[in-house]
Amino acid sequence: MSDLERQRWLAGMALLAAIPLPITGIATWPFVLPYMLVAGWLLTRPRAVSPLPPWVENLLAPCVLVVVAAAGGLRFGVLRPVAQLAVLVAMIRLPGCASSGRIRKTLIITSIIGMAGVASSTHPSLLAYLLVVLALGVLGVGRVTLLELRKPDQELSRRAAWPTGRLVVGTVALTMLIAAPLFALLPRLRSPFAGSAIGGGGTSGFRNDVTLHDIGTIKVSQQVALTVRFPGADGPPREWLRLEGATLNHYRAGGWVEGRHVERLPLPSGGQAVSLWPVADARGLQRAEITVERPGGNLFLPPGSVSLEPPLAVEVSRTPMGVLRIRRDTPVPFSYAVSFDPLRLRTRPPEASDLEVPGHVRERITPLVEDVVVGSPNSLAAALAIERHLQTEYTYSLHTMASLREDPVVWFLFRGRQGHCEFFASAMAMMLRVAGIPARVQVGFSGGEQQGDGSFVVRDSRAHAWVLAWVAGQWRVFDPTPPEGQPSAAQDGWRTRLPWSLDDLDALWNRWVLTFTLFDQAEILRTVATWAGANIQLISLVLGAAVGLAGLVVGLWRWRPSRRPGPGSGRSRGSDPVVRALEKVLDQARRRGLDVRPSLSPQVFGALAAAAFPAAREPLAWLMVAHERRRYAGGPPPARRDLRRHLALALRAMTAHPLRRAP
Amino acid sequence: MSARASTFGRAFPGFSLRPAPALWVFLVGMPLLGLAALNTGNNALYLLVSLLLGAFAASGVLSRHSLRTLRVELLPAGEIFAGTPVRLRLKVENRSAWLPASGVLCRLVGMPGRTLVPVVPPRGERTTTLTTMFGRRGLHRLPAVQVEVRLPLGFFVKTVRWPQELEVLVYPRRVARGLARWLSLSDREEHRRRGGRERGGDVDQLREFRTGDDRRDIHWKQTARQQRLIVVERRERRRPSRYLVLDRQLPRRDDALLAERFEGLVCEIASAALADLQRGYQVGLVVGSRVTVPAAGPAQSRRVLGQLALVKAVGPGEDPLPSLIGGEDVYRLVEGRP
Repeated sequence: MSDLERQRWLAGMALLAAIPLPITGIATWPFVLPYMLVAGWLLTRPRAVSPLPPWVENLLAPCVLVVVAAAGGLRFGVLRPVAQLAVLVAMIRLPGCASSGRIRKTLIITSIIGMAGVASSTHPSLLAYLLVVLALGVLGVGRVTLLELRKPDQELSRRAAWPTGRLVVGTVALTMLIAAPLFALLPRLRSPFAGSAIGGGGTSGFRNDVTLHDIGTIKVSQQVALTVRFPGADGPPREWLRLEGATLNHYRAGGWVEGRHVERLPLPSGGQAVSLWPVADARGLQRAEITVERPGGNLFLPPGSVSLEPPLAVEVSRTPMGVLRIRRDTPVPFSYAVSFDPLRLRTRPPEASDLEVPGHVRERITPLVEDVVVGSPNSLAAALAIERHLQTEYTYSLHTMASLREDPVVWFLFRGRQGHCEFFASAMAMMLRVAGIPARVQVGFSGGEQQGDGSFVVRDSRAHAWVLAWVAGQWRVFDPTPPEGQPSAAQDGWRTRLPWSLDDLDALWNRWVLTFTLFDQAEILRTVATWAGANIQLISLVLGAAVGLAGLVVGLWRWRPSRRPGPGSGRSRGSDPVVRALEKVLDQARRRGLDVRPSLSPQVFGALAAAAFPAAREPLAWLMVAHERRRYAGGPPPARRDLRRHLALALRAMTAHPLRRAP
Repeated sequence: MSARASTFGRAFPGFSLRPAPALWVFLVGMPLLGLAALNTGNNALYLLVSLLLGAFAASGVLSRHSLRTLRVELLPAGEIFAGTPVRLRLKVENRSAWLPASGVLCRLVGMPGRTLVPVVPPRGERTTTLTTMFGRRGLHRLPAVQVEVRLPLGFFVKTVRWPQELEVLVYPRRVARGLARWLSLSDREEHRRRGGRERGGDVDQLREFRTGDDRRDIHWKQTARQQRLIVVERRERRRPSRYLVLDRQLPRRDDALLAERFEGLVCEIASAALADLQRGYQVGLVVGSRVTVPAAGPAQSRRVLGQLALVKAVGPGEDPLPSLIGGEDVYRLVEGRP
C-alpha cells in the first residue's frame, strides 16, 4: 500500500472517529473543526504529506495543554479533557501519519477519539455508526491484507484489490447476530448512570419517584397508559387534566422519594365505593371512570378525589400521602371510578419534612431565592414569582446531562439552566422550601386526546411533574415548567396517533440499551426461568425432539455411503468395511510419516507398513489377507468384531511405536 | 494435551491456525475496553465491547467457513527439469453457496512458490499459476498446498494443507553442455531383420536375378536392355548410431561424493541428449544393461529424459553394460587416483 493511500485511510478513519464528538458535545466545535479540517485536507492531498518539524510539534504541545485547561480542564469530568486533548494532539500528528513510525501512534490516538465519542453517545444512531465503522474496518483490513499478500509482480485489478461486498455484509450481519446476546449477557456491576439510584429511566411515562441524575435524552413514548371518561359531564373539566400518581416530599440523593417508612392501608375491594376523604356535602362532585391500559403499581386520581370504586378483584392499598397502590403484576386492562371535587385539593396537611432542604443545596440557592422573591408580600406571591422565574429564565429540554458530581437541582439552577419537568418541579419545590413555604412534588399525567365518544386517551408522553405548595392556608398546584413542556390537549396531532415512530425506537433504545442493567438481566433470567417452569413439558418435548433429530442427522451423516472428501483425504471412503479399515490404516501411516504413494498396491503397502511398524505386523497381515479375500476373491466380509479388533490393534501399534525408517 | 490435540486434529483435519499481529492488539485492547465498560457501567461501551467480540467471533466463523469450503488442486504444466523454475497450475474451487473466499494465499509446502487468489466466487473456481522449482530429478509427488485465509478481520492466519495425489517426473537438471561423448555402435549392431538388408541403400552392384530375390529389386531398365532379369544389389544403409552410454555402477555404493558426481553425470548426459533431440538428431541411450535405440522427436525425448530421471546408481557388478560396449566414450565414474 502506498504512502498516499495509507494517509488517506488514516485521515478517513480520523474523520470517522470524530463524527460523534460534536454531536455528543464531549468535544465542541472549536476543538473538532480544526481537527476535521486537517483530516479532510489530508484526505484530498494528491501526495503524502510530511510531518511537521519536531520543533513545531514541541512548540505546540504546551499550547495544547493550555487550551484544554482553559476549556475547563477536569472540571467537567475526565472524558471531556481526554477527548479534547486527543483531538488536538491528533490534529498536530496527522500530517505525516503515513510514515511507518507514525502509523501505530495515529491509530492509537484515533481509537481514543473514537472511544470518547462512543462512550458519550446516547442516540440510537450510535449503532448505525458502529456498524459503518465495522464495515469500513473490514474493507480496510481486506485491502491492506490483499495488497500485502500479493506477489511483488502480481497486479491486482481494481476490483480484486478489495474484499467483496458480500464478505463485508456477511461479517457485519454475523457480528450483529453474535453481539446481541453478548450485550445482554456481559456482566454489569454498576448502574449505567452512576448517580441514579435505580439505573435511570429515559423513557417518558409515569414513575413512582423522581431521579434527576439520569443523563441522556428523555424519549417520548406514545403508548397508551390510561383512558378516562367523564360520564354525565358536559365537557372535560379543566382540573381532570391532572391525574396524580404519587406525592413526594423527601428529597434524597438527587431524587424524590416517598419516604423510608411507607405504611400501607389496605382498601376493601369488590366494587363498593370507598371513601378517600370525608366530605360533608356531596354536591358538586364529579365522576371519572378510568381504565388502566398499561401495567403499573399505581391508581391515578384526579385532584380532589373523595371516593373510589376500586376495580374488581384488585387489591388496593393507600399510603399516608394518599397514593393508591396496587400490585405491579395486576393484569390489565381494568377500570375503576373516582368521585372528585375539582375545586378543592385534598391531601395531608404540611409536615416538617415539607420544608427539608439539604444543607449544601440551601446554601447555594438561598441567594437566588432571595433575589426572586424580593418584594413579594405573601407566600402566594412568592410562589408565583418563583414559578414565573423558572418558566421564563430556564429552558425546557428533554436532553439533559446533569453532572454526577453535584446536586442536580443546583446544576439545573446555575449551570445547566435547562431540563425537563422534573427539574423544574424539583427546583421550585426546593426554592419554595428555602423561602419557608412547604412544598411537595407530585407526579402523574397531564392532558389527553379526546376521542369521538368523549373519552380521553392518556399516553405515556403526558407524564408530568408539578408542585404542591401550601400557600394561604391550603395546598395549591403550581406548574413551573415552561408552556412548551406542559402536556396539554393542544398537543394532539397525527404523530401521536402513529402506532410506531422514531420516538418509540428511541424509547426501545433507551430502555434496552442505554439503561440496561444487572436488574434487567436478572429480570430476563427470572422471566425465562418462570416460563420454563410453567412449560417444562413443552420444553422437554422440544428438547427431546431436537436431540432425536440431531441424533438422526448425525447417524445419517455417519453412515452415509460416501463422504465428501476433506483436506487430507484424497479419496472417498468406500462402503466396504474392509476397504474403509484399510484406508484408515493408510491415513494413519501417512500421518505417522510413512511415504504412502497412491501407486502402492495394498500388498506392497502392507509390507512397507509392517517393516516400518513391526508391532503392527500381525494385524496388518490379517487386514491385507481380509482385503484380498474380499476384494479379489469375492469372499464374505469378515466379522465386524474381528475387523474392529485388528484395526484397533494396527492403529494402536502404529501410534505407539516410532516409525522405523530404512537405513 | 495430546488427547485434546488429537480431538482437535480429528475435528479439523489438516487445519491449523496461528495468531496474526491484529490478535495481539485485540488481546491488549479488549480487556482495557471491557474494564472501562465494567467500571463505568456505560452501555455504549458495552455495545462496543459486544460488537468487537462479535466481530472477533464472526471473523473466525467466516474464515473457517471459507477454509472449509475451499478445494485446491495442483496440476503439472509441461516438462519439469530439476533446478529450473516451473509453472504449476493451481485450481482453487469454492464450494460455499453464498460466501466468496477472499484473500486466499496458497503456498507449496516445503518448496518455493506462493500465489494470492484475491477472490473465489461462491460455487466458482479460479485457476492461477505459481512458480516453483524441484531440486532433484526423479518421481516426485506434487507438494501439498497450504491454503491460508486471514480475512475478514485477520486475527488469525488459518491454514489447511491439501496433499496432492499426482506424481510428476522431474527430469535431470539442465547444465551447460560440454563436449558430449557419443558412442557409435553401427558396426557392432546385429541386425535381425528378415533378409538382413534394407531397401533404399546405396547401389552396390547389378547382378542376375536369383531365386529368393525380392522382385521389387528388379532393375527394369537393365532387364529390358539385357533381356534377362537383373536385380539391384544395394549396400546396406548405415543405421544412425549415436548413443550416450551411462555406466551406473559406482566403485563404492554408499559414498555421498560419488553419488553427487553420478548426479552430475546424469545431468550432463540429459543436457546433451536434450540439445541434440531438440535439433532433430536421433539419440540413443544405454543405461546399464538397458538400451534405448536411437530415435528423434518428442516421444524419444520423453523416453530418454524419463529414463535418466529415474536412473539410480548401483554398486559394482550390479548392472553392467553390455559386453560390446566399453571404452572412453562411456560416462562412468572411476576412483580417482590419490
